[in-house]
Amino acid sequence: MRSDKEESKSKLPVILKDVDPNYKKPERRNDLVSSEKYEAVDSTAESSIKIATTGVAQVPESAFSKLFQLTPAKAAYVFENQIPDSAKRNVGGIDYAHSSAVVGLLDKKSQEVRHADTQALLQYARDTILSISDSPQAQDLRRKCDTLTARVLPTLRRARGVNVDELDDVTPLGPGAAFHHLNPKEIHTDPEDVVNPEKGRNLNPDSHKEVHKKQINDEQQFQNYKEENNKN
Amino acid sequence: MIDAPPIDSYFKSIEEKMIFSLIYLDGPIRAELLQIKQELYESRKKAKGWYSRAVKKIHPDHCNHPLASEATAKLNDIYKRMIEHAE
Repeated sequence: MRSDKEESKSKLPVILKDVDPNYKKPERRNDLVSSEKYEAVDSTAESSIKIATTGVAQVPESAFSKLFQLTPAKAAYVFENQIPDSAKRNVGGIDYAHSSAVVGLLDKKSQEVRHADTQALLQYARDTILSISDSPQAQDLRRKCDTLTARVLPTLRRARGVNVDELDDVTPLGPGAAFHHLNPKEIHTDPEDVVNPEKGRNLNPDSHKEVHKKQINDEQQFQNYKEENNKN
Repeated sequence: MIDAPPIDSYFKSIEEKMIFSLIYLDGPIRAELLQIKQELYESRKKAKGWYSRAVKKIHPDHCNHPLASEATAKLNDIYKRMIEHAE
């Protein structure tokens, strides 16, 4: 689990913002469920979900009970054992889960549950998080994040503070040297890692070309290639 | 589905399995290997029983695995969270 207590070299500070309550409220799929129950989900979402400067909605553990229609004890089990650690982060002493992990789990549980009221409320909670994640507020934060990324990317080589080609740790960097990212590429690549000078290596053009040719895209692959290269 | 041998056969001992699960795994697979069930989060008594059995296996006083201390710290962390809402 990431924590704001650990020092990160990322150029993207993660600050959590309150949700703008004007997000589009989702469809209430079951009219036989009392509106107080839907409103309880709304109120939990508005008061506890945060949107980070990465543009990602973060759901605190304390909201799980209301969103998943569970007792606090069962909700704690779900947070601890059904959300992967990689989707959790601790900010200011509060544990949050990445919205995508929560949406996936709510969707799964809404398909498994037999009780129609619970199903409608799980779907409503799922759609609420999706709506917050698609809100103008979240999109605005993502645009700001993209602009920062575009501004910072060309400075990563200098920010890394290494003046030799990191494939051999000897050859001084020459013209055309570049920062090669080693953060894992995923469908959603974490924007914090993209602008973190520790998540890559400074390479001269020839080494960079070679590393791309060999499709070296993570730390382990780079380390193996470097060892192999230095043997020869 | 592959007709794979039982999970225990991949580990030299129960202690190794528990330490591996605590240090390297998370989510449902860790819960399955450590037999963490929902009821443990609801009953302090059951949680305490589970914790006592586990800590006897992996605590550095009983186990000389190099990662025993780290695994015990992780186990303590899980137990602390487990009993937070338990009755």
